[in-house]
Amino acid sequence: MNWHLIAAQLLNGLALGSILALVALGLTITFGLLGLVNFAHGVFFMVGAYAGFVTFQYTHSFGLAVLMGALVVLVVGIVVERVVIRLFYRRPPEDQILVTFGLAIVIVEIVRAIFGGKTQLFPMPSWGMGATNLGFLVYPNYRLQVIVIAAITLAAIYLVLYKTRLGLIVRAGIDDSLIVNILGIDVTKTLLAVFVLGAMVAGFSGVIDAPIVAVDPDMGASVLIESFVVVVIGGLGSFSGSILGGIIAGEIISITTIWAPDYAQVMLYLAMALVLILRPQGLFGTEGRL
Amino acid sequence: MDTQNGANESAVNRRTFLKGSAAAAIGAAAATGFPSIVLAAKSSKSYPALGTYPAGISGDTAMIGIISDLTGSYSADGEDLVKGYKLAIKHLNEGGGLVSKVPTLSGKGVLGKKLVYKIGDSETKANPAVQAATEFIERDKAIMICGDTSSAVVIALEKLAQREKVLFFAGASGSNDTTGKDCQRYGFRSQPSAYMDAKALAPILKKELGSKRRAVYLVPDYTYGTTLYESMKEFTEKIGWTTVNHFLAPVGTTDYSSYLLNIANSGADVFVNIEFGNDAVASTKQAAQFGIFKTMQMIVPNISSYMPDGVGAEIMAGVYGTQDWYWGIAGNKAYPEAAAHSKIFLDDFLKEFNGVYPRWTAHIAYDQTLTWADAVERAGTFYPPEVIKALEGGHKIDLCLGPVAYRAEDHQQIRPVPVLKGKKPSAMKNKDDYFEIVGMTPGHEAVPPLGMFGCHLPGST
Amino acid sequence: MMLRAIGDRSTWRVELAVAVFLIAFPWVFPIIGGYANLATRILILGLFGIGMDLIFGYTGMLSFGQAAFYGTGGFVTAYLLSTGMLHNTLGALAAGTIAAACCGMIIGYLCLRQSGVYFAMLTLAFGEVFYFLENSPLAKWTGGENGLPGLPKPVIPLGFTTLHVQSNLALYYFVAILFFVGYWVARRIVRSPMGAVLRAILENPARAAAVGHNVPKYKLAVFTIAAAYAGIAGGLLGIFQGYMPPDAFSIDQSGEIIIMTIIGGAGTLIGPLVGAGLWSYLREALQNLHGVGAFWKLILGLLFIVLVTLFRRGITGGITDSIGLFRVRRRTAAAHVEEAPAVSGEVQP
Repeated sequence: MNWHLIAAQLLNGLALGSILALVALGLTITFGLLGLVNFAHGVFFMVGAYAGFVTFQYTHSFGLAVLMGALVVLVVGIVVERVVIRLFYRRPPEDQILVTFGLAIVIVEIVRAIFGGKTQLFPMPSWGMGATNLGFLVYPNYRLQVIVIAAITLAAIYLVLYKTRLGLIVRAGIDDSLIVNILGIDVTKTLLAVFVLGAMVAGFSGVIDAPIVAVDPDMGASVLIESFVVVVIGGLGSFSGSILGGIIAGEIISITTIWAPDYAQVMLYLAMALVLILRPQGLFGTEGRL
Repeated sequence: MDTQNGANESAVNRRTFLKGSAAAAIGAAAATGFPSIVLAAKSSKSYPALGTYPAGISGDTAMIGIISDLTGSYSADGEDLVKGYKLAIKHLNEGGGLVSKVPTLSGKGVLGKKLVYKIGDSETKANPAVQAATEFIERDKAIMICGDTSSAVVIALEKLAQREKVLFFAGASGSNDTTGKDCQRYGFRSQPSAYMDAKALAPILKKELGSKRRAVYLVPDYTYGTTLYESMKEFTEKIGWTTVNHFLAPVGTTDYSSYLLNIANSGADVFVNIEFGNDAVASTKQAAQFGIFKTMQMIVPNISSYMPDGVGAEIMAGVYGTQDWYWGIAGNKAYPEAAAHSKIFLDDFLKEFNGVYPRWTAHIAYDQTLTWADAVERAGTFYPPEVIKALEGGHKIDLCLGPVAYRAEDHQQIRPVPVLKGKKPSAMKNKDDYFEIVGMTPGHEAVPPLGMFGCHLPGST
Repeated sequence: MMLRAIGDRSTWRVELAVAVFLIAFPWVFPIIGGYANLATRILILGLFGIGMDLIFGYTGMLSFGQAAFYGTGGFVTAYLLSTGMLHNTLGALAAGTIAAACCGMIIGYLCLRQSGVYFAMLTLAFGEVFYFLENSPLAKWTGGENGLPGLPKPVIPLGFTTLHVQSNLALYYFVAILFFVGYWVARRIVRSPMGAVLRAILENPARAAAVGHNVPKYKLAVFTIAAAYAGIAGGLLGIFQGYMPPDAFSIDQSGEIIIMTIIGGAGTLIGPLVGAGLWSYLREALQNLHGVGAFWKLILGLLFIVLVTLFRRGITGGITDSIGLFRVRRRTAAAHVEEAPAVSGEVQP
């Protein structure tokens, strides 16, 4: 066996896992905090990528593209929440799954109607080009940078939700809406804020991932499923869990590919099933959440 | 209950029979030899009912059922394909375009029937495609069906066409099996097969890249990918190349990094990317990020219509590959047989679709629809076995690629294969000018020997 | 819930109405532009949906992996028939159904300890495992991405003669008979003591367990039955179109059958057929409408959102509810039933 290759695949699993964790982050927020199974997560990701694509076309600035990706999806998120989602917080999870599933279909087709089905060119930002020679392998700079971006984003979201007054209200509002209502805080606004935060982060990660994947209206579908894998393995509502969930998923894919590429996806979903059977709260989740 | 062997069955007869005897309907089998009460066609000779003939042409119109990807991940290719069909049908009905260059075609419909069409969405999946085709045949009595952009789906449709005795013209399909072991009397394919792509490419690769190269392959795991891999392996090894390894990836993979690491580690100096559509875009973008193109030359044996749009000209520059047709042939003095007619098609297409350039999928649609119409006119009837005879007769029709004909034995079109090389961004004259044409391998040189892929055409009735 | 409202006396009338509908459908359907093949397709999905309804509508388990059983049934049947290992169509269908049921029992055993979102995620994971297994590792048998073409038309030996089902209409009635049997069996199940337990589980699993029902056993039984329904429907799909498509295993397929069940009305058994009919019919009608074409999915998606938001119980549920308005006594009874889950909702995790 080629030890260089194994080391390379281990590192790749880590980078792939960071991307997966980042891509899943929006879902971690809505799923973990609201208990809302958002099947529209993938399309928020896709809309973000498209908003970034259009911005980049006009400005050639990756930074602006990322900003617009997040802002456009923020607006889409507000509209979706006010019109549809707010009616579903008190309904069973099955209904939430169904309505967001419907939303996903509609949003994909709207984007297809506007932009057509073809893959859009989303170039790599200049600072992400090139590859670094790590001795045992040459690895793309951008993928290494995404590890850092993912870490910073996760830390920022963690700080917002756990170290600020806003975050305190949010979490309290979700844990016990009655008391928070009595205290004079509008819970519906809290729910809106969390949903929109989740959507915005999905849009953000859509732009970050766009230079790597093919940008087309259907790009959100696989992202959605992979995000479920990450969130399930890591544990609902656990931020550190979602990072580790992402990395575990990335490593499973990478390591399996060395010996049996055929089974890479099979192993991934088997792992997800195994976690759900043996430890449904996820490897790093706490019992009783959701 | 009647039993029968399936031959000489007619949907129309069955229906009429069953209407008259609803009691026998439950679990009923078809009626054998039930007297034909169908009106004979107006043509001079009369033929027995078969498939949708003559029900599909009993009125003033003849219906074409188009199956294409309106939604799903090949929807861009599907849209291009549909445009080709629309333009062909418009020209056949109203004249213009290459219709005026084919003596048999009047520009007033086909055999006096105005052509109408319907489009069914395959959603880039086999089941909706088969469903759409079935509905065209049963409900609309389509006299011809065509389309789709996946070899797996095309083969399923070919088999359906054979069973229902309705002609089918494949959209984008590069697998050897389409006109090989899965070939059908009722199925026709104009796109070069994987074998033809590989055989056309090999001499140019030898000339441009030398004969001591080591190749590694990324292969989508289905009939198109595996047959193209086998053909490329065969022909590159004939020019002295070594095949280092190949990696099968499921269709729809979004992150190829783990495969690309294997590829980067393979010690090869040529990367043959067989992925198609969005998979080609994702894998190529990622390969570039892995720096693979610094040490490896990329070859894409069959370049998807929208691949350059997705990966950008910088990456496509210097890439070798083939396409069924490329608009740069239009007016290209190096290829006089194809230049003039390609120009007519290109100009009409640009005019019809507000300056949008046709891709090779549109070309397949346009040329095949005209070829079918010509065969019907020459046969003097829509009766499928006669049309098949006309198509198998070796008659050449002079369309975008110059004179071409289907081979009688496997229904593969014998046609030149354009070999392309990606242009540098600085050399591009417009945003669609991605390739230069480095060769045009004549059809008879590219086609596989007869029987090589196990084609045995079933009967036509 | 709906069945209770109809009352016991009308048992056979419902079956009769379904039978009459099944016989008349291909003759009435063309009036609005339908045709026999589409009718057959709708029945196949309706049969698939009965299983979905048994687990979702009656027992409250939302499975996102039913395509695994649809595909398993389909590919086992298709493999046996296309390789010529079996010529008897019913035999191959039975084999496919049993294979699907066995998979259902194993997957069900592994999944059923979870409920709600966890159950949905777990079935989704197994659905994907099956999909990717079919796609590559098992491609030698399943044809992978190509699927299995070349299934012969149904051949049914009856002892004294052999039926060859050839025409589209004959094929329709072949499927219709199986649908009717499937529907009849499902109705027996939901009206049996087992059905009562299932509804008790739907309304309050904890209470059902507290009064001494072996909840996991019942759940496993109904999950296995649902897998069998999916299996036979998958087998019929392959036989019907002479080709077994690989996308039968896809997550889209699982999603589609859920959509159809919800649109038609869960908890009614006939709802999935109504949903499949509406979805399939509108899909084709919209595609052929001038200027709509590619937007068909957008329109149906919007329709689905509206239905999920406003008509929780789908079309069939909506109709039976409005009939109920005229039967005051029964409406009061139904209201009691409606209240129960609202109370139990707080107990749910």
